[in-house]
Amino acid sequence: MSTMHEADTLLAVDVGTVNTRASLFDVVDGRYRMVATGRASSTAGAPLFDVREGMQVALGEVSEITGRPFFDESEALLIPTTGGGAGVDAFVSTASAGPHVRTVLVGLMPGVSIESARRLAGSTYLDVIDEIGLTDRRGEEAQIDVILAARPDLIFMVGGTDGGATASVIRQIETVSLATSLLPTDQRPALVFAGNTNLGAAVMERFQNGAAVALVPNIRPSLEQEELEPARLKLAEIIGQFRSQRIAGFEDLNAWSGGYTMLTADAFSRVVRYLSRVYDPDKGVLGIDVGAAHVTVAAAFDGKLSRKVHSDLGLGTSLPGLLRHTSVSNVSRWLPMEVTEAEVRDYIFNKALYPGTIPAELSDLHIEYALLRELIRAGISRSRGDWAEGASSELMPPMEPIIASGGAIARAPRPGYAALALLDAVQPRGITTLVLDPYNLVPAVGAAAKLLPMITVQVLESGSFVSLGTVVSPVGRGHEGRPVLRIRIDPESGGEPIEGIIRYGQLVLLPLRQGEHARMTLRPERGFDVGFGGPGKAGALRVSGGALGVIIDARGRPIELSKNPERRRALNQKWLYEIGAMLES
Amino acid sequence: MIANHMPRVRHILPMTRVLRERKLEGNAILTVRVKEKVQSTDVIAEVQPQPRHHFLDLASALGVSDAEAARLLRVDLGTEVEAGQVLAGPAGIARRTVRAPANGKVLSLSRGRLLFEAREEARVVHAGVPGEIVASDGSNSITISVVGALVQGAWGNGRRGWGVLRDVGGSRSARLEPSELDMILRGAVVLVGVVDNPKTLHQGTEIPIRGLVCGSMASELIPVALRMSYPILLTEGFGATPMNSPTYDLLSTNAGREASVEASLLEPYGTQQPEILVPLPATQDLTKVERIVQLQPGARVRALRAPHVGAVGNLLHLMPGVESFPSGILARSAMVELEGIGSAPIPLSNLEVIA
Repeated sequence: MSTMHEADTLLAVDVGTVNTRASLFDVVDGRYRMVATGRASSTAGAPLFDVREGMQVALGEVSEITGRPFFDESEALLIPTTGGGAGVDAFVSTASAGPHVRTVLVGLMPGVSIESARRLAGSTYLDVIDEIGLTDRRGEEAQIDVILAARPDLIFMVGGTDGGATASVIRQIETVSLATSLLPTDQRPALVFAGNTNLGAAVMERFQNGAAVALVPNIRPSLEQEELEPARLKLAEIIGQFRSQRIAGFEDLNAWSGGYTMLTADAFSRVVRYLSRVYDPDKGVLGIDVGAAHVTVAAAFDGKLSRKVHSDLGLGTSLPGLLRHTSVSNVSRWLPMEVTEAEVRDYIFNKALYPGTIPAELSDLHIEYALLRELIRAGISRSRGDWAEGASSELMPPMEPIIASGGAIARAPRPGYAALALLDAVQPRGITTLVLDPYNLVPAVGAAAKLLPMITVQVLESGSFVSLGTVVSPVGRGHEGRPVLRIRIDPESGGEPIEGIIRYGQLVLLPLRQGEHARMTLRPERGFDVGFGGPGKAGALRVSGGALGVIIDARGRPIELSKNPERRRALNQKWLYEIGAMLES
Repeated sequence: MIANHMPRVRHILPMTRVLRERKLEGNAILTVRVKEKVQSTDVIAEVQPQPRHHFLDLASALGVSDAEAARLLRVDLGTEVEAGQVLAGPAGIARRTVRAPANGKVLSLSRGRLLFEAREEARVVHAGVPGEIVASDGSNSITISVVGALVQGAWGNGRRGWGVLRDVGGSRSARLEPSELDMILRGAVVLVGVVDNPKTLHQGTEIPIRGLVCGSMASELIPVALRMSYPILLTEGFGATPMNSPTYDLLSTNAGREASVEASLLEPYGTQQPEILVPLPATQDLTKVERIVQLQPGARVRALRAPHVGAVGNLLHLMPGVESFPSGILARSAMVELEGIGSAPIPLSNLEVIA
């Protein structure tokens, strides 16, 4: 990252698997604003394997909009801004594009060190291809053969609490050392040891065959303690180096951003953690980023962050991985029209072949958003086990806000489309706000947060993010049509109050425009909880408007879909109309 | 006007020169030299598969100490040995010995344990295409230069093969039924529009055919296709989309000639595309394989998504601003004159250039 701490203009580039985006931020009326954004196809993959081409096109768009050139004649980025208004004061870059780092985990106990290593690996762009542990039934020879056959890019070794086990850890280190010594020198993996700190010297001694081992603080200093951050930083560095070795142009991005292109998932998660400290401490903050090759789910509760990068989920090349976590019929259940399971399956595999394509037909859009729902559901359900709150409950813990990012969500033809997909997928409870990141700015402000601490909150509060609206989701069960809630909204602008009764099964939009505020009074019926301290408890709060106003989702939690396909399709269609995603013809 | 968009490029070239690199995993012995001419069936390398490793506990087998075991070792570390060859001993009154469990190599000795690398049967690598060896690093890669027709596909099952190209069905949308695969097609590379029956794929093994090139295939057949020993290449993708017309025209014209099918598995950030090569004598000008082609008026393009998936046409002009589509999505688009359909706006993201 650039070393400047006083900067007016910030240029951010995010290199994704399908899209490369560039965003220019400037200070307007004393606050940071996104002033222009550009997008291009990513060129990190075949045939170019060079991120610069896509970046130049994206930056070209920003230049065209703003009239601001960014490069000099030698194609070097102009930092800081020149007197003539060219260049920028600061530059940050983030990337999720690039091949995954093939990783073998080596540890002791499955429920302790290996569990922590797995958690860490799952929070970043590593592809764990095998695990070797103390309870591994394979012999030492077989473990050597596993490493040789896997040809890993990284061997991540853990095990032993500080001052704890030594002999068994060393035995495993010796196996790894022997295996790596059998690999050709140019194919030897990166080695990281994050186990018993007391074994540092002994570990180094075992790798005197020319392999360089990075020693980082123990991820499990004690049985009760888990310390992932130092190892996470090291892994991020290795992932960055790995990408730079295989894809051209990352060196330029690194140089312009002070030597370091941040991982998109790290930058995204940083924003989620920051917001969890700023917003209601009794609620968590949820961030979901659906890319072509990954789904990132970040949840933070009062600063305690947990994140997962699901590399087998994504609305592009990774889409077939969804079928390992859900069925085609689970995807089809969200469709408002009849589509055969074979068609949905073909759609999944074709989208993986052509990840950059977009749905031009309405039926394709419905399939894409049905897939989006299941991707988010699978991502959340596979992440919740690590959350600080609500890990074991069937219902989502209270979240405020829920931020959604990613190309497909950003492309929603109408805000209701994105909102309904999020409500169906996340099924939030109580009161929350749905926020869309249509320009993929979360990674940018996350990467810039250390450099320009004010940028996160100022950009979030600007119009660059779309608040879909405040959502009220009463929790409880009832019969269709039974009263669930009495609501009254008193706009602060002094307009007419809105009052009404919400019935079970309804999805209701109440008008409150983005930027407007109102006092909302909720009186739930017995057995229904809106988050005011229990079922039937009433309360009032100040709410903000959004693109859809105030959304009352009285469909119950969890949403139960009819088993009758025709009725289910009719219901999906009704909800699309109710939330304004489809217009009555 | 040129679009500020980098499209996918699909090569469908009647006559070009391509360089095909054969990556050799493991220890390889090359059997060809640079500038040598090869045929598809020629062996170009012998590759040792990944060896298996065994620890031989010399100390306990010989009933001696670790230090004594080292002294009793009869072969130098790194030496190639034959199965049954004495590695250590004799020791003790029973004159115990330790013998090599297989052909292989003695790698290291530590604390009385010998690490032994068992050599597996070498596997041969065929050229797969007729051409000339133009480069080699001497151990892990050989590059063959081939002149002929090149057609890139969309998906492959990870196999490679060659044989005489046969157009079964006679149209780009013909559905291949199991009964159509008979003994006449033994050893052939079969060209067809659509496959949707797993029995068809199994029948291909029975005959056996040497390759299957089809427009599209039902995605539920993927697990079956991955198990087949012959290459299966899809030019369009999954479902029932007919083969695109330039591909079908070029391949059907070359029916009766030998074709090489490289049905490479698509890997993220991989370099190998599935492709068919029809080697031809270089009798006309060769078209250069362009990796980057701009989207501009006159470009030959193919639609990747509904409503015109697989249709081919000429780009008429890039549309100013963004276009609204029936899905409600707004996208930068081009007006394309599609063969047999007429002109239609198509999002730039849903186009690939045929070059």
